[in-house]
Amino acid sequence: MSNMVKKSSVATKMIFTIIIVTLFVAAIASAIILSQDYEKYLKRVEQTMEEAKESFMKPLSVALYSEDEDQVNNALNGILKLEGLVEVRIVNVGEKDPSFSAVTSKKGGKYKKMKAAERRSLGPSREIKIIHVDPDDPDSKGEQIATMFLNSTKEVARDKIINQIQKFGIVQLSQVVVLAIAIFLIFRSLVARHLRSMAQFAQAMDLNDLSGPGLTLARKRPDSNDELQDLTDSFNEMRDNLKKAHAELKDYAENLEDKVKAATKEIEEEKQKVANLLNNMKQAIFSINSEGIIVGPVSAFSKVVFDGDVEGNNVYDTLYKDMDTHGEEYATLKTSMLSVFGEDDLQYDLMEDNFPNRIEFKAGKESNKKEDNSDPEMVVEEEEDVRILSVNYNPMWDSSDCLEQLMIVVEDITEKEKLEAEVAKQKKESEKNISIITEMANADLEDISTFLKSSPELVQSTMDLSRVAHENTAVLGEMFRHLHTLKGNARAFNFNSISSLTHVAETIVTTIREKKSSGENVTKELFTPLISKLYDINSEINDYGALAKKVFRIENEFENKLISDIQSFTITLDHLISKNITSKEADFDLNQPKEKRENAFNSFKENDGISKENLNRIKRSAHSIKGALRSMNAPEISEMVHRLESEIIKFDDFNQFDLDTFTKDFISPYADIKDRIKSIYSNSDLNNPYTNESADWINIFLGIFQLSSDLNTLGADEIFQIEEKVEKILTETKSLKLAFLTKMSSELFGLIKMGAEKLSDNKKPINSILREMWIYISLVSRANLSRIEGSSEKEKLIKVVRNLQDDIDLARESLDNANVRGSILLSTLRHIGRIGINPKDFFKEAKTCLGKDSVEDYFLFKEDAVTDLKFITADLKTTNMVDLPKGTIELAEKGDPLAEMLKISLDEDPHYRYLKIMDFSQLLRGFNEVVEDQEEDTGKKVNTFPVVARNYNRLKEIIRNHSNEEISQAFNRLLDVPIIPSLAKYKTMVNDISTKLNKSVDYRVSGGEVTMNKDSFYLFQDAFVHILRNSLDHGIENPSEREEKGKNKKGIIHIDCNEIDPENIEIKISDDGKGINAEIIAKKAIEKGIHTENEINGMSKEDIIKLIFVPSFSQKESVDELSGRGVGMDIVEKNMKKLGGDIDIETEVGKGTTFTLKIKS
Amino acid sequence: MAKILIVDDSETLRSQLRKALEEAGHEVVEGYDGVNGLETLNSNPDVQLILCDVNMPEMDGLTMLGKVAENDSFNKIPIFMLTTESNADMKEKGKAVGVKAWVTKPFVPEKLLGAVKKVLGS
Repeated sequence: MSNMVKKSSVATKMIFTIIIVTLFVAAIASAIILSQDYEKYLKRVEQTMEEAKESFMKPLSVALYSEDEDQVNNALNGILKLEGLVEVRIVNVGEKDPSFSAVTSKKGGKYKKMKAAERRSLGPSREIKIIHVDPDDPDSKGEQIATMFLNSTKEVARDKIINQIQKFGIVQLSQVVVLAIAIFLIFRSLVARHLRSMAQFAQAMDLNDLSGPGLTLARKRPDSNDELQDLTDSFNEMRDNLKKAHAELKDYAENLEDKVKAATKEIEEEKQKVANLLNNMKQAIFSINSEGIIVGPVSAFSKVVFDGDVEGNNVYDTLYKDMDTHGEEYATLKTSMLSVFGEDDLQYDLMEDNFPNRIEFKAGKESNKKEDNSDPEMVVEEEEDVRILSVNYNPMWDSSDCLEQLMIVVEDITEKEKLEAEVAKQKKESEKNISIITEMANADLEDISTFLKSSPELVQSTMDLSRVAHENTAVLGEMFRHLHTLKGNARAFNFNSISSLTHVAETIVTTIREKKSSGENVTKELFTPLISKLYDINSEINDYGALAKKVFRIENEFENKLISDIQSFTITLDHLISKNITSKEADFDLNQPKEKRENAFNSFKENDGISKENLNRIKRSAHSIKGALRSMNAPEISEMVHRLESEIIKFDDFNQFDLDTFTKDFISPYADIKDRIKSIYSNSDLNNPYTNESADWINIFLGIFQLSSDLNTLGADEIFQIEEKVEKILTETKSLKLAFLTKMSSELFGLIKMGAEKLSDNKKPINSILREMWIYISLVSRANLSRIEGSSEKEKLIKVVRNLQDDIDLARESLDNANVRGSILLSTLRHIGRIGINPKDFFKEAKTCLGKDSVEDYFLFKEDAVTDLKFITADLKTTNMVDLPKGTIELAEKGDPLAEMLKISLDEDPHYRYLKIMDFSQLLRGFNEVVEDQEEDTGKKVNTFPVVARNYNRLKEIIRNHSNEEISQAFNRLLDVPIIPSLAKYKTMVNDISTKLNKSVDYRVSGGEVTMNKDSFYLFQDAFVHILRNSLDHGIENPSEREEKGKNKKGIIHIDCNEIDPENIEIKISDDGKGINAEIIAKKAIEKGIHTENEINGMSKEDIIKLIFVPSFSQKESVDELSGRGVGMDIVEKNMKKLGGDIDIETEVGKGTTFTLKIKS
Repeated sequence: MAKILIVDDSETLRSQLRKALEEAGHEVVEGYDGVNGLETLNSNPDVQLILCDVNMPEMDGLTMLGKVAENDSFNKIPIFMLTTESNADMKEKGKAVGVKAWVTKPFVPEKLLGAVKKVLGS
């Protein structure tokens, strides 16, 4: 506000300025004019004085001359009337005082009153000489008579000036004032007003609210485009800018904190990232200088890669330390390193390829040297730790673009390379699978199935033979033929990997045969590579089988067979180990108290040792498991079994073990193997739940009952009589695939077969088997009972069974009246009654075998007892094969009748633990299945195959037992093989082989709808393949030879099959090749010493030709010999004999050969 | 394209270099040792680049290049040194006689041609 007070108007200031300036200018101008006027006045006074001289000189001189005073005074008064003259004096010559003087009376006599001197100083004065000229004398020059003094005054001029100034001042002043006011008003109206509103506007501007209207001046012509408007615009612009700036500032101010935080965070993150990168990435990063010394920064991982700090080290002692210092690569590297430093990129470009990008770095070498070498084995292992490093180089230039440092980025790609190799392996595997599938897709499913079934048998036979071949070299031929057949079959389907593997195996056999014929010793070792190759073939076949199952839903019988073998060998092994080594595996568990473990170990040591025979049996079982696992292509487990085998060998002396090594080297791996085999079995098609059908079980119950009543009545020397009954039970349990019961029946069967003399009076082993069987069926009964719904039903059943009358009729009646559905026990008892035996005898037998009083309790349990079938079934799946699972044991202790029965059964003979636990699981699953189906009704896979097979086997059994030959034949024919389509399949093989032999062959098959028994067909097929191969190899000529002979380039092999009569079929295999030359055969036969020349001479041509079937004739002489004699033709005759068939050969040299095979269909 | 002088006592290497350079359109003249190299250079004063081996009979590479450097009409020609092994001393000597770059044997044709192009282009 104080500002407001002090503030003065610009307009006022301006007015004053204008007035002063104007006045100043006017005053100067006036002064100039006035001074000019004054000068003029002074001149005029001079002129006046001159005029006075001119005008008054003569009269005055006259007057003076004449001394006319008046005249003089008149003249003087006249002079004084002239403007500005104040005094006139006349002084006569020679006188001092004036004679006349006069003073003007102007100004009221003011001058008269002045002193003479004062008066004479008022203005300019003049002396004028008064000259008297004699008028009569024209030559008179005049005579001065007096001097006239004239005095003037300047006051006149001064007065005039003052007057003028006064007038001028008033006029000027008023002029200036008017003008100034006018300017002031104009300024105020045009500028000052607006300036003020601008000022107000500016003052009113509020930074917090700049939203109001802009500045507009109240002007008459608002569109005028002058400085004011510019100023206004500038104002508005300024305001807008201010507005923006303010908004920005405000925004900035508001967000500044957040922004600072965010930016800080970002920076921190970036920093962290970089730090993390350097510290966490699996890369060693560092630089080297021109000396090859590693300089920082060095990433943290460098320490890991190089086992320590590398900064300051020489790069040749770290990164390049394992390079071959004598190698060219190393020399080039050194030269290149040397040349790049301090040079430009031209040099670097030339050299960069010389820096190795992949380095093998041996880790641990140095650090281990420093440590004490107490464990030399460890050092060896460490030294083998070779890291694969990927190395990249980045040049770092100095300011003059020369290389200063080389940044090296090292990545440990050991794992990556391993992974890549793994991926490549998997890729290869899947490629292989695809090629297998393609191969199989081109064949008939039925044929694949046949092939997959027959091939493992051939391999197995070869394998069996190869184990004895070093002792009996005669079997080499048979081995070769098996492989040859297999190869042919594989080729027929284009199963290339099998055929080429078989070819290798075949070559091994051929080599051994050559050794043998050259008299070398055939050792066992020669067969090792063959056996290994045979396993490879098996695993290859199994691969095909697995894929056939996966892709074409063909049952992988081979795999199932392998698994079934593995399972049964494992059962045997488990039994043997349990009986001869230890049955207390569970006690060795590391979780057990030390004391318990020690006790278990001591009791193991207290054994008398193991018989050589049993040890061999254990070895054999383990070996068989290993073999089957190898065939299954399960190398990991087979390796485990292999290691177990080497432990088993140590059992010839138990003292080789202490508790820890025994646990670590034997018990643990053994348990692990069993667990893995259990998994293999559990996941296979074999792990089917057992039957829960009453009819099946009634048969079993009845069979066991009858068997035991027979055995109990017969003496040891008589029991051979019941062989058939035991066999029946064995067949039954086998067809139902009841593992435990099958095992028991077959053991029983074996005992009975051993005969009376061996058993003598000792029926103990028989009795213990019977006991196991009875316990087992009581277990089944309990499982069955647990499925019966409702306690009243159970009550009824228990009541009827417990109160069976001694009288057969009463007993039957009570059983018939008992209205309980689904009880196996009840149905069995009824059945016994129906065949005329007292149902109560069932329990009598049970009592005899079990040695218990209330045997009914074994089969039944109290109506109020609760059993949890579902839980036990599930629990059994978790077993570790060493004992029943924990949950089940707990249930048994709590009195669950089913769990209790499982425990009784398991404890009866603990040496069959593995078998029993596996068996229980399948058994209970059977009884539990209905429950499972109800609960998870989600389209459970129905496996019809086992059902069909089971029914088929049962039907076969029935038919055989009824011994109706006709039905049996018709039945067997169901599975006959149609011959023509099967033989047509060999077209692929023919094409394949003829291409390889550079021959061209047309393969034709014709004939009627002939079928052959499946087993016969396999035999026939082997013979057929050999004939076919011989025709291809030796019969059909190559095209040029055929052309020379005038034959078609393309040879023909024709197969014709026909039924001669309902029992016999005939298959003709003809080729239009070169035929068989009897003379050559004869010559060879003599050479080989088969016949003497004389003998040959006595033989017919046909007989001579048939010599090709003689085993020693048909042996191939060397691997690459192809001409002449048939290879492996002996198998043709051999198989035909087995088939009860005949073989005929018709041949004509140059025309061709026809083999005619007659076989019973 | 340019005229290039190769001086190396190995005929195999010379022909390899010749092949690579001629395929890229260059004209090649050869010298089988230092003396011969100088002769070839004198009769081919329009040579624009010299590729020179270090160890050669009669006159070694660095000596030959020393003479080239003394000649005012040749001392501006860029030089590539061909070598299998090198050391700091050799590198210094090379620098003194105007060696532009060192090329390790066996050479990588693409790399060498790239460097030749770069040197001739600048």
